[in-house]
Amino acid sequence: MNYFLVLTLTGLAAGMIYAALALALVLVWRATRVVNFAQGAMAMATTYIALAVFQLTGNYWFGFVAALAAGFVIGAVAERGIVRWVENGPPLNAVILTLGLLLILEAVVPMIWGAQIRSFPAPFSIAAMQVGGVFIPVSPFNIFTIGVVLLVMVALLVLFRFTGLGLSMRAAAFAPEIARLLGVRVGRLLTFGWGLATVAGALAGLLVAPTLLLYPNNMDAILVYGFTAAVLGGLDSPIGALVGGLAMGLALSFIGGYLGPDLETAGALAILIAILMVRPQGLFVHAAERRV
Amino acid sequence: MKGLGSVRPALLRHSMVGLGFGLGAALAVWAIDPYNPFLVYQLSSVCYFAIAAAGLTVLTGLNGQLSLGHGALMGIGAYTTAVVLKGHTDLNPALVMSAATVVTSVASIIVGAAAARLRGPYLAGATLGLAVGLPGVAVRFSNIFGGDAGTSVPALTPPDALSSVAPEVWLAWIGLVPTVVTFVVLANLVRTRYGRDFRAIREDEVAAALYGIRVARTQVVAFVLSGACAGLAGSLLAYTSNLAAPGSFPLTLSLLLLAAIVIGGLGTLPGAVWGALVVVFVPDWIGSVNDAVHLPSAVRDQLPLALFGGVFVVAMLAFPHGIQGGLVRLWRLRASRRKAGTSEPAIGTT
Amino acid sequence: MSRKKGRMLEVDGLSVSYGGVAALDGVSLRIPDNSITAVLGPNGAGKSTLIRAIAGLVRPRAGTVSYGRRLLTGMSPEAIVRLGISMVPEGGGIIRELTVDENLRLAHLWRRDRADLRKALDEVMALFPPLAARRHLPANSLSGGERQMLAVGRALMSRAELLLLDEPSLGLAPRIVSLIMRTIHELRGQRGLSVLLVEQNARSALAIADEALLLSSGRTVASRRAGELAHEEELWHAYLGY
Repeated sequence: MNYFLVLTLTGLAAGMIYAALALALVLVWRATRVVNFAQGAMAMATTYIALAVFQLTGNYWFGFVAALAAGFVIGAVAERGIVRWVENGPPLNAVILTLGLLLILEAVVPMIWGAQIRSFPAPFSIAAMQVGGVFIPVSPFNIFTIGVVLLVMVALLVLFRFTGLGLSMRAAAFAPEIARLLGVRVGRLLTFGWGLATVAGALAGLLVAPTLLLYPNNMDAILVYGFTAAVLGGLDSPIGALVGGLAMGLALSFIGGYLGPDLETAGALAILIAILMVRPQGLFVHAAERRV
Repeated sequence: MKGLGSVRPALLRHSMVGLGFGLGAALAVWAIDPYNPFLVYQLSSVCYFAIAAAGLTVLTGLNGQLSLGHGALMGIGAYTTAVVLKGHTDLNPALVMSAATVVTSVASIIVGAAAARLRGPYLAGATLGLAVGLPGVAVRFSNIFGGDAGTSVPALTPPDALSSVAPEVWLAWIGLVPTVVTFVVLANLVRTRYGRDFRAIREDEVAAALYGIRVARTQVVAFVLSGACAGLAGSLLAYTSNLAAPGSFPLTLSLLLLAAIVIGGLGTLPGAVWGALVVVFVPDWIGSVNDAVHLPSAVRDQLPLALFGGVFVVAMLAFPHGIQGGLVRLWRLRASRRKAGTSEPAIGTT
Repeated sequence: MSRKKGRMLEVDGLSVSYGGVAALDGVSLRIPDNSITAVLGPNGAGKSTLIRAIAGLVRPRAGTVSYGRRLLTGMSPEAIVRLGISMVPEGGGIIRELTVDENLRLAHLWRRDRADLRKALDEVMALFPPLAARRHLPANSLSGGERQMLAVGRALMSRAELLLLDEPSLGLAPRIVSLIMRTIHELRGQRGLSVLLVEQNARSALAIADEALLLSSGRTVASRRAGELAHEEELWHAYLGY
């Protein structure tokens, strides 16, 4: 099969993972106007939890659910316990705090589980499929990846568009003070938003690990890709995160395929800087509001 | 910005005091055991951490630009050192370090020009990309940079006249020179118009622009200045470890630098020295404590980082002025106690 | 709709300062049930600070606010709303990114009563017909008058018994101002609402108010029946400048 097509299909599957992490960053940004640089490390930690539960029970899905649940708890605790205290301070302080969190997570996880590289199970085969003797460069796990991220996207869309909780979350993000005057418990929603975001991040961690393996900083590069995807989408828009993630997946697949896999991160950096120079408000946001 | 006049000489004085303190302590140990190579190695580490942290604290603390890429910029300095020394192994270290500083400065102009258009989280994200992406470039072009194994850097040897000095000790002496130069230059520079402009932009960009400060240009200057420090530090790191390898410049290095300036006291040069001392000596101290308690090796290896992360978070929440802020506070408290009838001292915050 | 009659808002010796500068200095007032109290004063007199302190948006330095038997001081805005006090901030405070319908629903969400939500929506639409026509449009497509209607309508959605209105006439055409004032007056009559009306437009406010308070530099300079203050023109000139 055509090499270009192979790169396209694998790029789309990888893009879905970047989209999930971008979504996590977007949800946190919408709620608290903070970029959570610990998002990747949180996903790494929840994936280790998934591995521990898998090894204990022998069932992938128990591990899967445990990771998502742990993601919610970690995100909520991080917001309520740490970020809440600097929410009204200079934005720099909140960002620095998330970096401290990153440092802690990348140190504490190997204390518990060791620093060696581990393999991580996939619920479906990660080998390319063959249909009627024809080689198709997509694995069943790729299809699962695409399906589950799309499912999460749709679920979030329904939450935000059609439920009272989603309406309150949007109001809290757009105008926190007004929302409070209308009886919205903004503080709780911020905690919930961080929890929800970290669930999306945990999903990205679970989807990355079968192919990229699991080790304490396995999400560092994914964080850069996810961040670039989120910026591409305007940081504020879940749909933008999806499109940005797919665009990043394709771009990096081509860079890795044609220029060498070691240049993927540098390529992401080049893309990020190019976007920020040309259109810093992202490609999907109409009216960008800069908080000074 | 009131009281700036009294802060200025203090800044210089404190940086010298801090530096002198660290060096004096180490020299005292030298006198006892001149051939403790590990300690000498640590002293060199303090030097390059202090240089890089000083540059970062000017950028982040004074100018308000957050960079997660300074570890990578150190990498540029280290690789420049390695590549320059490849052909000419006995080149004068002053020349090599200057070359590393210049090359990193040029790279910083490119990053800084992009950075000047970026704000807060965007800048942090872009420089994060630098930190994560740059080691890959070294791996990709392995014919120049030696791939994963890196490129070796020849050890410094003392000149014939000083042949009695051990090479490690000579290295530490060589490390002190750029450190002192960096701190003197920075301590004086932050007192000039540029230092004032850096702060003005951090406080309020729009107001700074209205006062006629060329915001973008000043931000690039701050970034290049701080990048130059990182390059110099990277060169010293290469001399210290005799190696420039991708594994020496992980994201963690950038985060450690940030931890150093936050723990030491964001925006203060003496704070950079305190931070460097903490970052270098605390892991060793934990190691010695561990010898008594026998923690599993996985825990022991990671404990310093976890601790820095924890202290970092606590410092950000509870002690935003770091060690240096605490010392200044103590100093003023003592001074005001001495003067009877003086009321509670005002803690200088900007 | 069950109404607990006879709740009175009492503000006692309220002082608020921003960074050491006093914005409000020992102000006291009472708003009995089913009455309109106008708070007048020039810019910077502390009118908005008073209303924000009652709503829980700023913490007072000294003094208390109570409603019925509940002490409001120290309570969060979202808790104060749940006691039946609804504030309309200056300019209306509508959330531009949400639709008219969403703005209205939002104010009722905490009641968790779907049947009543529909009823409350219908009531607001009947009260302000222009909103019904634009119900599913983004709120930033509304005109200034419509925005103020949305703001007042939204405050009513929460079934408030006490409305705190911060300069509802600001920047509106005289015709709209009189419509808004008339609506406030009617609401008092029909629903038994109490209203705290902060205004610079003294004439319109005094026309519908029962009691009036004149603030200057954070202090009360006059507290009368609205009808009496309406005739003390020299007092207005001294403090309001017209």
